[in-house]
Amino acid sequence: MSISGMMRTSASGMAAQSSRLGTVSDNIANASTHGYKRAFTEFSTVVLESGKGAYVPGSVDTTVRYGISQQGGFDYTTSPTDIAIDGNGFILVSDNSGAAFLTRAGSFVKVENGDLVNAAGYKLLGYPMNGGTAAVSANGTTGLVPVNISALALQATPSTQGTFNVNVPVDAEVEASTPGTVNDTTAVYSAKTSLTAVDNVGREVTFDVYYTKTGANTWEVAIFDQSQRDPTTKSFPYGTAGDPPLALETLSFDPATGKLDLALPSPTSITIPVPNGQNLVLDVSKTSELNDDFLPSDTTINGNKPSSVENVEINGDGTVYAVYGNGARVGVFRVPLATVPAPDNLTPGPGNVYSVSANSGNLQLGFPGTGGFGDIKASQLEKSTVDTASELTTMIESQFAFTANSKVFQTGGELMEVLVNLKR
Amino acid sequence: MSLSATLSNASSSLYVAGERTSVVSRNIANAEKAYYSRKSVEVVTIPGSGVRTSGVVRAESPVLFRQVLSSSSSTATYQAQVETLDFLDSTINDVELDASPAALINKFLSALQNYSAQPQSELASKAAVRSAADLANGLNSAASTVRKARTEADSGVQASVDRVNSLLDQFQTVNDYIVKGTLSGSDVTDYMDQRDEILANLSNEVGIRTVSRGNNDMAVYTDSGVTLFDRVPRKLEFVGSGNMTPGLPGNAVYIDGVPVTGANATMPLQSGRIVGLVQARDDISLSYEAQIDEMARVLVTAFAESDQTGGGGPDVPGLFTYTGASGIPPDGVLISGLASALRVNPNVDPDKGGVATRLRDGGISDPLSPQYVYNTDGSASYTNRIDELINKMGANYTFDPAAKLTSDASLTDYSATSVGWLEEQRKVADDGLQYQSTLYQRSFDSFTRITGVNLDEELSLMLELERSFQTSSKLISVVDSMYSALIGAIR
Repeated sequence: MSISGMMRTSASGMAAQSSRLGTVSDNIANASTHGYKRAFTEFSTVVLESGKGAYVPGSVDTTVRYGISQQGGFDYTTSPTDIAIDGNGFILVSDNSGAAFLTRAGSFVKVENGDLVNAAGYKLLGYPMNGGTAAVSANGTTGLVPVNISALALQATPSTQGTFNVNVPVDAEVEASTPGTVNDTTAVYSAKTSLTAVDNVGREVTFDVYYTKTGANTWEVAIFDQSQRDPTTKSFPYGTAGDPPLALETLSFDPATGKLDLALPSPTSITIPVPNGQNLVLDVSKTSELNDDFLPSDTTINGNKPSSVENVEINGDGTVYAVYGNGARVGVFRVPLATVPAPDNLTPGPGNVYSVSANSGNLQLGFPGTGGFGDIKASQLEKSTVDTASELTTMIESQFAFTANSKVFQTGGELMEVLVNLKR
Repeated sequence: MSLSATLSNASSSLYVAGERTSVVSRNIANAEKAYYSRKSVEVVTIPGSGVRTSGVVRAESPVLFRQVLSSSSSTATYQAQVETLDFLDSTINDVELDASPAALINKFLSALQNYSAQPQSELASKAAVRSAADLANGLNSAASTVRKARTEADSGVQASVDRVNSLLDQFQTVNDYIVKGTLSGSDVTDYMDQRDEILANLSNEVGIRTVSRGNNDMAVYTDSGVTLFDRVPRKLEFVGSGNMTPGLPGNAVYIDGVPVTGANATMPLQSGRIVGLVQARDDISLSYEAQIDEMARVLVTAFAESDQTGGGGPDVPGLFTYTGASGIPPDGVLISGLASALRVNPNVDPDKGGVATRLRDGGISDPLSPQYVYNTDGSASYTNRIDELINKMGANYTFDPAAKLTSDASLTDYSATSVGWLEEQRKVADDGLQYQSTLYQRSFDSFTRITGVNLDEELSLMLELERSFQTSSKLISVVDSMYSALIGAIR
């Protein structure tokens, strides 16, 4: 009976359009939700068997789709813990029960226990680095823990390497009783400077560095611990007179170029055993002997005094850096990205999260910027993929279709009435 | 999604225009501030998402800044010298009193000549002795002026050292901010201006060189290569010399344990106020002090009395003697501090109960002993001794070359040369100051021209920004009316 079939068909059409309007309203409502991926509907026909000369109308079947793999634009923020993904992949987050989800909503803030939590209350997951590198487990969430930045204690970095290049005046006088040979008040040097390093417990240790010309194009470098100096002379002797210096090297220069003569060979680095610290290797390879005054030209030494974490930054490769008060940046966590073979088939959950479904395939993990994964952008958020104008257009179109379906239904109803009224 | 994209592009443009306007306002507000450098905003295009500011940068000119620093150090060197020399100049340049040693020597000479013309006049004898007393006082006060100048220079060094230490502490604070701010990506340009200003103040006190390192960190060395700042400030150490001992240089300044001033300096400073003050304290003032001491010593020698009995007794100080005198000082050897101890022998000073005519008759050294009496018969017209003294004042003496003047000259010539020497020093320092301060002004002007704020530029930029802001706002209102049209289509 095709009149009732017609009514049934138009009812299914109205249901389909209302479903479509549902996605439109959801999309418009979430037009400003960071990390939101628009939903849309696809329709397919349902055909019923028809006899010859009698058409039996079928109905329309609605499938809701999500454009999860669509890239959104970026909003710029001022928080360094806001992250967006440029390219493929999802951030891994967990709820309070510990279940892992995927999301693109990266507005993370630190909460009172030190976790980084996004607007929907999900915690950011990452691999702890523990001073080394983080290893990714490619197909599961094992090893992932919530990124927690409250546990980062005071930290001192002892000095281990540095650069210390100076120019020594080529016309200096040759001295006989050098600081390297006589650690006493009789020692004569050509020039002195000092450098500051950090020991194991974060104390600053200052070393006195004496440059003494001992012969043509030959310079002795003697390094003493400044804290050992004689309090009255403010220089020699360091410790007990006659003690050898902490470090002693003889640099030889090529008179033709004024650079270190590597053929002799002249040493290019000096190792200082920092008291209560590490061995500090100073690169002195660019020391020169030119006709100019004594002048340090490039003096850098690593190491930092102890200080607490002031800030957290997330790098493009997913490394979470703790920024210490003294300016040091230490990688503490590394945030991986995850993806599935069919991201559009992920199951959406509340709070812009997605979970793995049977149709999406299994999780694959990797670090940002590697193997097809996108980059993490700090201080940015991914915008909703909704365009209000096109949603409004869809809405108008849907409204027409709904009205048309209701007209068909109305017509069917009237025809039924005529049919019913045939019986008097 | 192009309408929303238009909206977000337009709003990003509004944001950037706002940021840039705020920087323009910062520039205009600080336009007159020395060492404020012009700031500008770096703008980057984000593909598909409009524009964004990536940071604030400042106009820099490291080469010109280095020139400003070095010329300001040299200016300060001369400035300090001129200050001390001006002070010393008061010993010779008081036109009203005309109290320079040279003038007093001439006055005394004419008083002697006057006395020689009327040896019987008691008035003339008293006038001659008083004139001698004036000369002794003049040399005393000249010596004390020199000592004051040296003490003042010494406390000037102390003040400079304290200032450098406090500037270095400030430097550390600002430098730490800069390094930390650079690492965390915040705007550190204002701190860098502040650091430049601290460096400029530092260069006033001591010549410096800077080495820039990663993360905008900076190390500071003196112009002789001694570390002033490297992560932490190095201490400048100086013990004030207190009252300056005549003839001895003052204490040296130590930086990081290295002596940087004085004869034993391993890495001597080359410029800056400290250098100027130490030179004034130890070179110029010491030489001038030696000249005054030499004049006093020669006065004692010239007016010595010799044994008139033929007994071969030693020469003894006559009219001019000094505290702690034991005989006549040896020829040509500087006795430091003599000028301040010089006085007229009380035996001849009528104001102190002496007899002025002993100047004519001799026997000043010991009135009771006849051994050194020249006018043995007590004649009132005896002029031999006075004439002998006048001749001795015109005679040549050997002076110690340590005083940096001629070693063979008459007393009057020597005192005149000394005036000329001081004036010469002052002129050299003054010329140096003029030259260096002009150089400083020039380099500072060109530094400011390159890095400072140009109001015209800022104004035209402001107009440009206003245009861009208006256009973006217009764009937003156009999108708005497009949406209205669409919404109007919904029935």
